[in-house]
Amino acid sequence: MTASEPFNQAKDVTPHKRFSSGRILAIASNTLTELTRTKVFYFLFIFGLVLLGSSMLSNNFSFGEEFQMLKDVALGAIGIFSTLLAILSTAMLLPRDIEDRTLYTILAKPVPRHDYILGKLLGVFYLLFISIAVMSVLFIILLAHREGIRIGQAALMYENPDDLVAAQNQIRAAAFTPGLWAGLFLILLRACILAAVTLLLSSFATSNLFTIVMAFTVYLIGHIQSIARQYWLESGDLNAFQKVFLSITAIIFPDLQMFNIVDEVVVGRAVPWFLVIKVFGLGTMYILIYLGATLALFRSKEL
Amino acid sequence: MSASTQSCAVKSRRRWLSDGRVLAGALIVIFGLVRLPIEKNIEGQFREFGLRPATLTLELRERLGQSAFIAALGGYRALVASFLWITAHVAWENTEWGRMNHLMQNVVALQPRAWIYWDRAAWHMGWNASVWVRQHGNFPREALTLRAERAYYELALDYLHRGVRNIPEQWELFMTLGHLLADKMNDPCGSSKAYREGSQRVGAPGYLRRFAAYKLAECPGHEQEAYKELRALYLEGKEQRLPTLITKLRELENLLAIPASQRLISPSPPSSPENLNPQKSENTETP
Repeated sequence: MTASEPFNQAKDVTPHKRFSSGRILAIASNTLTELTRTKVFYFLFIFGLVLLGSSMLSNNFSFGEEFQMLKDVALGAIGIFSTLLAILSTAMLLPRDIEDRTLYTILAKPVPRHDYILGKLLGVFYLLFISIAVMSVLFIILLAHREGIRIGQAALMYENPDDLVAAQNQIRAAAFTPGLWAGLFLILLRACILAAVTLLLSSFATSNLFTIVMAFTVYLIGHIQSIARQYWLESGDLNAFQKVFLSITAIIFPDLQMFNIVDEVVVGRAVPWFLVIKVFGLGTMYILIYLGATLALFRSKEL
Repeated sequence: MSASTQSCAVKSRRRWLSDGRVLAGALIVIFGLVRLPIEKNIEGQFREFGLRPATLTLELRERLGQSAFIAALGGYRALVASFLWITAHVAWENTEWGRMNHLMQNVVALQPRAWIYWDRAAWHMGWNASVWVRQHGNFPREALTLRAERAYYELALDYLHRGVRNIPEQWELFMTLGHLLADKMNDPCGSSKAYREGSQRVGAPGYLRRFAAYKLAECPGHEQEAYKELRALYLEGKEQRLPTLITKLRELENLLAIPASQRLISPSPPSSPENLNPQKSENTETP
């Protein structure tokens, strides 16, 4: 080895990139591991129990009522668990890294702040995707199982083949309604938006509790604001103050009703895919803007 | 203004612009202004495809209680409706009809597009509650029993009418309406109309057309019209020639004194044992 070799090697080293997908993915997978270590997936047992309980309970009802209730409870539970996961797991990300001093170790290395934030958010998205996918699979298995049982019962009840086919078709139509997949997809999208909002809040929050309370407030306002708007607009007599208040609320807070079609999906409404794509586009815009705002705040944050 | 003051002002403006809070706030506000028309457009399309729930009223807030109302507002109206339905089921098991009706009114207000709730609510009121009142009402006079029964029929009718207004495409609701008017309210004309409406909906079973014709045959003044319909059904083919249809046709041909040459059915029933009483035959259908 000559004396000049180390210098030549240094020249060959690839320059430090401002944006690296490898770094982001590494932080994301690390975030997912950290979240998994907090035993966050234990909630799946509770979800399983909820499903099992509702299935046993709805056994006493007619097949129409049974499927309706099964879907109501399962999609409702998926919605609640995904909301809780999105808010609670994101709210603790930054404060814990600051408390453990992991954040300083990471940022001391050549890792830009935006890579760190992107990786953290992506890690939460992984978690949400895995959780919602597992819950959806459990739900679909149960629904298919109950459908099979009801079809078997129909076979014993009807002797006329035409009547049997008609009854089986009715059972199938009641079980797997067309918009079910779109409903599940939009639950995931809503959870991702909530995670992005929570990360934004936690980037300037002074405590975990503040982030969680504020995120739930945003969630509630996000659902109520469009109903309030509709109610006031239908009543017709809006004063200037109400108009200003409504406009400010609509501009600042996300309209989460845009991503809530579960109530209509469970009753069998079909959702056109072009509409799902439009809502997906809107959801992506929400996530990007909240991410941009988080980066702006985190960049100027004194650590 | 001195040069140093000017430089301070420029620096302060730059600092202000590079402040993350200002940038974040600006991003959110600008995005809020941009997305409003987009959301309005999507909202309009949601309404066009019937994907928007009905408005929650303040009256419902009073009836549901605060926690359930907030859950419903928070995007979980289907879940709240489901739990209320289970509670209504328990009330049914305890024959608490008033409480049951109250709960079911809340369920249908929360989920007005779930036909199953309208249908079952009407069934509980029109069949279960009304029969219970007759058997266990212990009213001192028959007139009071009849009035109580009638009240439950009216409740069932109200559920079905509202259900049909909310989900006009659901044939099942028209069928139950037809059953209620025929079996409980002695209104064959209204029943026939309900069955006919139902038969015109997508996915409606073929027997609704026959039910409509059977009930029309019982509707005073519409015998000729009913005969035409039953005849048309008979001529459609073998699958329509069920014992009830044949019996009704025979009755109408006799009633309308149709000349023998134009009759489809012989004036008297055949003597084979299974056709002696078509009402009890396997293929007999009673609306």
